[in-house]
Amino acid sequence: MKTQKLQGGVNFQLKGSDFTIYGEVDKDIPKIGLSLNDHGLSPQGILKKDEVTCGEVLFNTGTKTILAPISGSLNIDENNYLTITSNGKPQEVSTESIDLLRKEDAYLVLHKLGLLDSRALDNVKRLYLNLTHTEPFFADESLFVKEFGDKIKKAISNIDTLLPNREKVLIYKHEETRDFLNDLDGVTFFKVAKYPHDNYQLVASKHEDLPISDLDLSTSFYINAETLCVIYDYLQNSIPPVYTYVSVGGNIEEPKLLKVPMFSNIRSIVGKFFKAGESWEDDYNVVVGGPFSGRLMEGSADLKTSDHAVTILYKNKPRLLWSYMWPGLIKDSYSKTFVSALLPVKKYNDTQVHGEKRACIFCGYCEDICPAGIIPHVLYKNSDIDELEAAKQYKIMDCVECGLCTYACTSKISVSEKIKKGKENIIKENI
Amino acid sequence: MKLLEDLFGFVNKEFEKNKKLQFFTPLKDATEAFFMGVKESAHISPFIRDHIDLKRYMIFVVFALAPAALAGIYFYGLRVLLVIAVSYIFGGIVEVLFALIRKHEINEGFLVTGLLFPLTLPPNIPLWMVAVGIMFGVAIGKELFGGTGHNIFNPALVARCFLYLSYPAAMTSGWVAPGHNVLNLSVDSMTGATPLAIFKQTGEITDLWALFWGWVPGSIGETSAILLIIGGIFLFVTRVANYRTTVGMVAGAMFISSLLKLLGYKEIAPPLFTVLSGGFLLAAVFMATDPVSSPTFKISKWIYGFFTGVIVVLIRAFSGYPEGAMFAVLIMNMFAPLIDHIVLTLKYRPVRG
Repeated sequence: MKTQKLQGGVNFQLKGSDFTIYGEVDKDIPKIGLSLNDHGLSPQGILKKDEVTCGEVLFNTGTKTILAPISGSLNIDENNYLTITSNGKPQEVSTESIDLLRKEDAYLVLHKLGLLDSRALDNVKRLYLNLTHTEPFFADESLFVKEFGDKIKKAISNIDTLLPNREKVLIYKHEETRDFLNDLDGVTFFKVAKYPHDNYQLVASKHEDLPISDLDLSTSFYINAETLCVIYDYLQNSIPPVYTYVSVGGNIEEPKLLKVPMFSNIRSIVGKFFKAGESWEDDYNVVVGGPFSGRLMEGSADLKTSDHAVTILYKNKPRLLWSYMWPGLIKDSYSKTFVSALLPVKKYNDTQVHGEKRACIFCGYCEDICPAGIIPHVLYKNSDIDELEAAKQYKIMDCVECGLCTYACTSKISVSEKIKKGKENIIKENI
Repeated sequence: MKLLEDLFGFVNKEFEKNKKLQFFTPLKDATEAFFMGVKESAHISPFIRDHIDLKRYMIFVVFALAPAALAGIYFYGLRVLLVIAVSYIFGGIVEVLFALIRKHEINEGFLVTGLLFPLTLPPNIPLWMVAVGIMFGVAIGKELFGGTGHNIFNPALVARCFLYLSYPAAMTSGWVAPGHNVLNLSVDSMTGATPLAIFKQTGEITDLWALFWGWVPGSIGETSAILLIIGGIFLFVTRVANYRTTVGMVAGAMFISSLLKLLGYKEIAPPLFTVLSGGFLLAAVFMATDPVSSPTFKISKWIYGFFTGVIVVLIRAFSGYPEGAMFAVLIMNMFAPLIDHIVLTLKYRPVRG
């Protein structure tokens, strides 16, 4: 028997009713789920990249669930489809063991998939369910409610099977969402406004009425809408989820919500927003996550299971002559030096820094914009010269790392980056 | 546009490391950025950045100063243009020399200093004095401290203070009544005393409307209150300058002059006259609000502004100098870090018990 390594996140097609899958199951993910249609395997599924060794795959035929041993051979054709032909016999699993699996492993599976973080479950008393995106560019919850509203509703009412007897706090932005979800029992609503009001720490601080530094985050979970959809799929099918949900935004015509296979390649997602064969990679940067908190990724990389947002941003726009003297009709700015800052127009953004790095001139924008109420320009200097005690006294630990100070900085200093380092050093040196 | 891009792309090669022109890289960078801005993109989060940069920030101060500068040209003739040009050229030379030798970038803050300084001078100032003054201001007032962002005092005021103390005769006499012969390049000494000097000597108060519109002798850019107020409002609305300092300064001056007047001091001018005359508004709108040399917190700005206003009145009334705005701002510049320190310490003082 030979094994073949899978390319990262390929879509594959399974044919035949009797089958065995050759491959390697990632050790971090105990089971990989594949849905079966009535006649056999579903047309598409996903396997985790690279290291899938022999293991088991759990299938759901709709009427019964099957645990299949993996053995046989793989073919990847020119369309990047994986074809599995095999005559191995799937082995049936009793319903009882599935129930057992659902109860005991539910949290574990979601955690291994990166959908819930690792906490002592007994400590968790509260679930913050964030239904909205306040980072710029993304479709806000109205699109989510339109497309997956019922799913989210069911997920919220069924989440008790996964994490019973927890207080549920729904974070929302529009009243319509509240009206839509109003008939849910035992939930509290928490309204937020613009970025970064839906930040975990900020929400928890406001909801629990504690300063950020006094928060005990081990007593709550923060779950976003995309994860809720995945959890719904999981609870519904009782197999580990295969698909995930991704919000795509940025310099594209309109933001969208996509249901994509887990571990999807970034190119395959971003490519949907361009014409086939269009070489977008020279002109666009892809940020996985929001534009404020995400990370820059190559097109060849795959999404992680915990990634639920992709931002597509212009790489370089042609420079304008004397652009700093123009009125600025579509430019995005916290300062009011651009006409667009005074008008409710759609603003233009890209990944350019729009200026040269300079010394801090104490303009005070970072202090004004900071949602945590700390003074970024003082803290960044403190952490820069390792005055960690002073930094701690000035509440550096209250920083929620939203990045707004770096965004607004007139002198183009990476303020939040420095503050982040200062925080790390404080924790490291235990001050 | 394409042409310029290509040109800079071509020229850039000559400034790379170990090439002959490497020494002049700051100059090339500044020239390129002056025309085109920069191309750098964000590699760490956040990936979108505000469109404002120091160039725009500083150019807006220049825009706000433009009405006062144009009025100066209208009031005192085209020679004012020469004064401004000399200030920019000689100050620019010092700035560029420092940047080249110390290998840092040429800073935009100079755009403001170079225009602000000539506006504080009497129209009759000899050109060589302008050159000496701005060179001193940029070199000693700013670059010795490490350039924009590090200076303790407002460089334009350091320059003016230097001239004021070194050449008091040229700086305190030779005032010209505004508004005759705009095209005249050499200002004749049509002497007239400034409203503040008249008040100091005779106790006579100039018509407030003349002060408001600017038909009085004085420094090039300080006479017209209305234009300075317009510039100030422009700066406050665009959030380039902070209104707290200015309002605090006006309040401080009004408060102390009303108080002392009530107590019967004859040296004190009426509050409104205090605010409209001399360099008060120029200092309040453009000098005291300089973000670098003024304190940074909101409360400190109120305190700083208030005491600057108070000191202006005290110097005008009880010292030998008719004008105190420059000294008041410089003195308070000195205290700005202290005010900030106290405010910060009080805000984050450890909870007792």
